[in-house]
Amino acid sequence: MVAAAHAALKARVARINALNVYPVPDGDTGTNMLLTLESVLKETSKKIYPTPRDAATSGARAALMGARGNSGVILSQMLRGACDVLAKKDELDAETFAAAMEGARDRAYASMRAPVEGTMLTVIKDAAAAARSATKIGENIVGVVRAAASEAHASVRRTPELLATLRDAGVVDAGGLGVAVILDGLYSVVSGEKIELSEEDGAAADTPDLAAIAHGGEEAWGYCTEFMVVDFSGDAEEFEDHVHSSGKSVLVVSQSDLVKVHIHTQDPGSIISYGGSFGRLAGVKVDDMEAQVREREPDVSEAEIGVVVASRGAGNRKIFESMGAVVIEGGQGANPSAADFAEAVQKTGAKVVVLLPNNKNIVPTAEQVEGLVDATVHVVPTTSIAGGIAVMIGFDAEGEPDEVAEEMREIAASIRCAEITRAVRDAKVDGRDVTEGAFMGLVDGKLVSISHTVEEAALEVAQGIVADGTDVITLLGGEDMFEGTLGELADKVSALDAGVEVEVRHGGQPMYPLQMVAE
Amino acid sequence: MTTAIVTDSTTSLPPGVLERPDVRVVPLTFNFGPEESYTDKVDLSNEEFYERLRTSDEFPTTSQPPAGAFVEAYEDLSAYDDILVLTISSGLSGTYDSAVTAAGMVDRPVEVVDTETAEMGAGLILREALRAIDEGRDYRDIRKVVGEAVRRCEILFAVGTLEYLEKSGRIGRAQRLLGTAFDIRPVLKVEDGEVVPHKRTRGRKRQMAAIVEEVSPAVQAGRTLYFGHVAAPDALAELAEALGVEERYVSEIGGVVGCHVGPGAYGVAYL
Repeated sequence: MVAAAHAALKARVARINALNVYPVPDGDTGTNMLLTLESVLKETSKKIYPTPRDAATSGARAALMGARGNSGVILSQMLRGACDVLAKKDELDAETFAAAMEGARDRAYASMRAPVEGTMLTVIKDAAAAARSATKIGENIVGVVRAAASEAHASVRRTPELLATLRDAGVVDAGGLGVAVILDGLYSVVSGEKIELSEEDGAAADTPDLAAIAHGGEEAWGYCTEFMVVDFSGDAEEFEDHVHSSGKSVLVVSQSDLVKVHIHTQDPGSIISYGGSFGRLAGVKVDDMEAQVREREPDVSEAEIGVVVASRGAGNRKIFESMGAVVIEGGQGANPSAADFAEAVQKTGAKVVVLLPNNKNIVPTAEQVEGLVDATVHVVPTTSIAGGIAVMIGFDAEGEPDEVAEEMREIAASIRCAEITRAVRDAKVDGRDVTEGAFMGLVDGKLVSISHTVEEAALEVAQGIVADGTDVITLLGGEDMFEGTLGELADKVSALDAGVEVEVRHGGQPMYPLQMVAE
Repeated sequence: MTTAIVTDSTTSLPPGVLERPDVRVVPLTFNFGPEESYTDKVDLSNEEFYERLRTSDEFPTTSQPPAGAFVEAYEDLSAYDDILVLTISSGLSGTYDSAVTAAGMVDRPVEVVDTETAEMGAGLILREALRAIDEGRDYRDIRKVVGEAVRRCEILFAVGTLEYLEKSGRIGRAQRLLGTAFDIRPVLKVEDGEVVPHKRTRGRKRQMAAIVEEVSPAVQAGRTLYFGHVAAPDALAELAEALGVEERYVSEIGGVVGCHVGPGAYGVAYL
């Protein structure tokens, strides 16, 4: 059954991903839900459990371990609620299914501090109610599941009526659709029918850049190699194919006759000289990622307090590690799981560990970690990488753990974080029209600037921050940000107010050409 | 019964001290390579020193005074019954050892006290000692006053960079602030005679704000403040203004301590 749900979800993952309220290129709701289910599948498939209770308990735990992102965490709670009910039953009948749906609903609602309607919560609630009604009119298991699945889809279509952000963005709720699709999968198992794909529930949306998501699984392997080929001439397709076959986490971006390459490879020399045969090489950068891992092995014997951060980009990793954090790759478009966090928590060897999720969607995952590890966990809910770096200033490995955690919390509350990103489609955000390709400047998650260039958006954002008063602004350049542009921008920000100190770092994070933090 | 004081050149000297017949100051030296040696606070002005620091390829080293220099000072003060020696923290310099060795070489009562601080902090301790002397107290009382001052004295300082403390090996427990790829401006203090981090901050303003926050209660309590700086008079004026105090005592930090904290450092001691 899990396999069928998984298959159904997998078939629709791109569509769910595309349903994102914010036109930022994260689009990972479907991926997160899929990975969460995949974790259950891995645990339960090809295994025979002595009792339904054992199967249900293992499934619930696997869901929790594999939960990624906000939607994944909620889904894991639903699965846990359902498994709690299933554990007490020997047989899956209409009554049991309805009870399991209610268990899923109750657990999901209970896990949210402030449940929002028009989301996957509403969908599970409506589906559970439909399942219950169906049992009352004497439907069998097939009828009950069909009722739940079909009501779930109806509920998904109603989500824009309940949530203004969905209405403005012209989409239905992505997590809700995920729930409906999973129920479709269950229906196909109990009924033996094939799943029908209806086109209406997707709304028109672009398929997101899955390459960026693939890139997110960046692991410490070989050498992180970056270079540009200027005045590129030759067969671009052949070039791209060769690069893709030469390593992992490959990104090839071209703009007229300039080609930028990012690759993890064991042999950086040969790929660089290959690139050199197509034009002039520039911006060559090679980092030994395995050495970075070796370096960051912390002193296990002494650590009272440690930090685990989710971060993307080689530059950001270096900054975090130099300040004593254990880094897990993950962020926008590639959310790490609770198990990833738990593993990193062990790596710190500390009794008290502060988690910096550095992304809104990773905060709920981080909050699940406490139950998975022996260490005391403090989640400081940072929502950007730049913000996370600022919070690291408060980290003192030799300090009194509770005081250090409190200090980091205080810093998080005092900073302002801004990010520049690019709209992947037309949308209405915070009451303003955003056109595809425009650069959006967000301050603490609020849209404050829409511009044609990163520089304009950044400057407008910086002006607002400086006007509100700040002492230090740090600019964190993304992977596609050129050093020169970053430098010029820093000069312009400095010129806004002589009293403000401006610091520039190359972070290398994807999707955000620029992040800023004002302290 | 009369008491005289010997101290070393890393003690910031309140006005008028140098003219007193009952005080001797034993100089430390700093060197740029084996050929180029200067006497602390004598040979080079602050500006000349920092110009030399900027242009030198070599990192300067500092030397504690030879025991002989202390012997000379003790003998100079033969007219006094007792000699009390106040040295820079033994955790930062070997000067204390020189002073103790010298004490064993003269045939008179000399007691060496480790101030567990330097510059402005030592200046405040010296001031307490001189006040007790001027009040006509006997040696035991003076020694008690000094002991109490060593216990109560606190010093906080800001450095522009940790590079100098690192190169000179005087970084103590502040070592853990090193090597970060993000610009941290620490506020440091001297505790148990060693440099320790007080707070890590970002940016010049916050660095100063952290000092103000820590020192303000001392200002309210009416404790005596002694300011010092290394080519940073403006920052110091700003700090005094933020604390709402007239700059009671202000000294330029000399080349020896300057070699360790680097240009741009400033701070305040209070008792």
